[in-house]
This record gives sequence, structure tokens and C-alpha cells, in this order.
Amino acid sequence: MFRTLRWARRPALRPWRLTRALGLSFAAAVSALTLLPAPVPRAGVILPGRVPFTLRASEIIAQNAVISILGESMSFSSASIQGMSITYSAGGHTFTIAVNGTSSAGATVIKTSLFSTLKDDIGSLFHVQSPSVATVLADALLQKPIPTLVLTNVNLTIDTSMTSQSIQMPGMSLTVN
Amino acid sequence: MYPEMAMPMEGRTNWKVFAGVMAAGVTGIGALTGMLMNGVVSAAVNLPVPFTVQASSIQGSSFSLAPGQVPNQQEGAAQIQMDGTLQDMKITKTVDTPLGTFQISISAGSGSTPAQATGMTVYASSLGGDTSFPNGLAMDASTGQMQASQLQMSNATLQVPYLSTQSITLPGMSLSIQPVSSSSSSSSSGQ
Repeated sequence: MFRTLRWARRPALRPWRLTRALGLSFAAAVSALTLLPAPVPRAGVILPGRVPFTLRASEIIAQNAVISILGESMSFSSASIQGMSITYSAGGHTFTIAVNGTSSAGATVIKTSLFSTLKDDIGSLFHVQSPSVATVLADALLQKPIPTLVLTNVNLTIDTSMTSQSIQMPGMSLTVN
Repeated sequence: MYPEMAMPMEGRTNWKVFAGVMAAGVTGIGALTGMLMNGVVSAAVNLPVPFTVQASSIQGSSFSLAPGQVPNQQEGAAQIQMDGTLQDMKITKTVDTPLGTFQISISAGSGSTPAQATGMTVYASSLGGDTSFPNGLAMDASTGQMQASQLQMSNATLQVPYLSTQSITLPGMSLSIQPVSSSSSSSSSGQ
């Protein structure tokens, strides 16, 4: 009873003190969030419940390519794709879209969790013809555009999405097995 | 219990009335077929038998392609949905009969009046042709679906186990039946 009365007699918190306390609390919360570990991409794991499709190409020459390991994406402003095929399996059947010739793509974004494995196992996704592998990895960490990126033996499983602003597929064929 | 229900019906057909009703019906069907051939009216079509569709060009809109199975079958097929304009469309089906093997062909949409289909659902076991998606293509691995606002195909060939459309116009439609093997033949043509 005595304690309660003493607490009640205390002067009310002044507005400027309240503002300062709230500001300090906010700053502390932001600092704590910053120090929390960032979510680490699952390396080499295909996202469950998906219909991942595999993009294969004998050669991709991409302009203004940006590879992001953290963002798990690759984008380019345009590309010519030689020997392109897209395969995916669903319901016990395999669907294959193959292009007989050179495919031309406009601005394209490819998102897959497999880009997080880039620095560990780049060879399983594609062979970097130009520039050097070291340059591509360094630029991928910084998300720096690569003026002309040449990849060969591309075998990329896409478990999220691929969007292209335009794409031409001469001699396209779709087969179901 | 009504005793008259057990008694046989009595009476006879008025053949003049019957002939008049038949003539009106046949005339109506003929008029509808003629209007369909000239693209004046469209028809809903449901073809649950395998056949081949060829077109010199296909202009599609609201295109989507997803993995699927032919309805009531175990056969895998790409489920394609779109609205489309088909130039020089030709539907062919080979039929084995006791008289031999025949190829049934339906052609439509030549010249300046292509065939037009809306609400088209096609289950294709294969398709081919020079293809482009001028306004973009999106592939989503969460559904396995490809979507595009526009599709352009030239020299298109589709193996279609199942097709249905909400409406289709077949201007200049012609039907022909030709023997594939060396047996008897017949041929008929509309327009």
C-alpha cells in the first residue's frame, strides 16, 4: 500500500522524456535486428512442392548479365541461346520443349535457389567461357553487371521462376513422354 | 389405378405434319451449317478423339501451358488454354474401317478469313513450329505453368488427343474423306 502510494506520487513522465525513451527503444530494436543473422539460402536444395524445370543450352551469350548469389537470381538485358531445351516432370510424365536453332531472348530474370551454390559448385550449373570464373564470382557477390557473359554446357534447374520480356523459339517442339 | 393407362394408345402419324417438321428442321440445320462455314456464327466444339491440327500460323492470346493428363485417360499431355486465330487450319484424322483406312480432313480459315476460337482448351501430346512470345513469357515452378499474353506460331503442327472450345468459327470450311490405302474412296466438300 505504501509503495503504491509512493509510486503514485511520482511526477508524470514529461513528453520530451517519453519521446526520447521511445526513440532509444526504436534505435535499440533496429540495432538488434541488424545484428541478427541474415537468412542463409539453402545451398543446393530444390524447394519442395515445386515443378522445377531444367534449362539446358549448349551456349548462352548474355548481355548486361547480373548474377546475384544472395538474391539467387540471374538477369540479363538480352541473350542468344544455342541448343536450348526446357524439361520438367509432372504426373509421371516428362515434358520437353526443345528449340532447333538459336533462340533470342529479351530482358530475362531467372530465379533459382541453386544460385546459392554458385561459389561451391559452379561447374554443375554451367561452364563460364568469358569472362573468367573468378571475375564472374566476384561480380556475383557484388551484383555487378557483366557486359557480355558467355556460358556453355548450361544445365540449370530452376525451382522458382523464369520470366522473359520476349523470346523467340525457332523450330520449337514440345514432346511428352 | 387408371384403367386407361393399361390400354394401348390409338392413332396414327399425320405424315404431312411430320414432313413439314422434318423439312423445317433440316432447313434450319443446313442454314446453321452454311452460316458456320461462312463464319457468320460460331459453334462450341468438343472433340474427345485424337487428331492432328495444322496451321500456317497461329496468333494466340491469354496463352497458358501446364502439365496435365488427357481427360478420362492416363496419357500425359500439355494442357494449353488460349484464344486463337488459326490461318489455313487443317484438322486430319485417320480412321480404320472394314473398307480400308481413310483420312478425314476438315479445312478452314484460308485467305483473309482465318478460323477463330475462343476459350480453347487443347491437350497436346506434341506440338511444333516456329514460336515466339513477343510480349513475354513467364514460367512458374510453383505450378509448372507457362503463361504469355501473346503467342505467335508459324507452320504449327499439334497432335491433339482432346480439344474443346467455347466457340469457333470455321470460314470456308471443307470436309474431305480420302483413302490412305488402296481401297474404295469417297469425297464430299462443303462450299
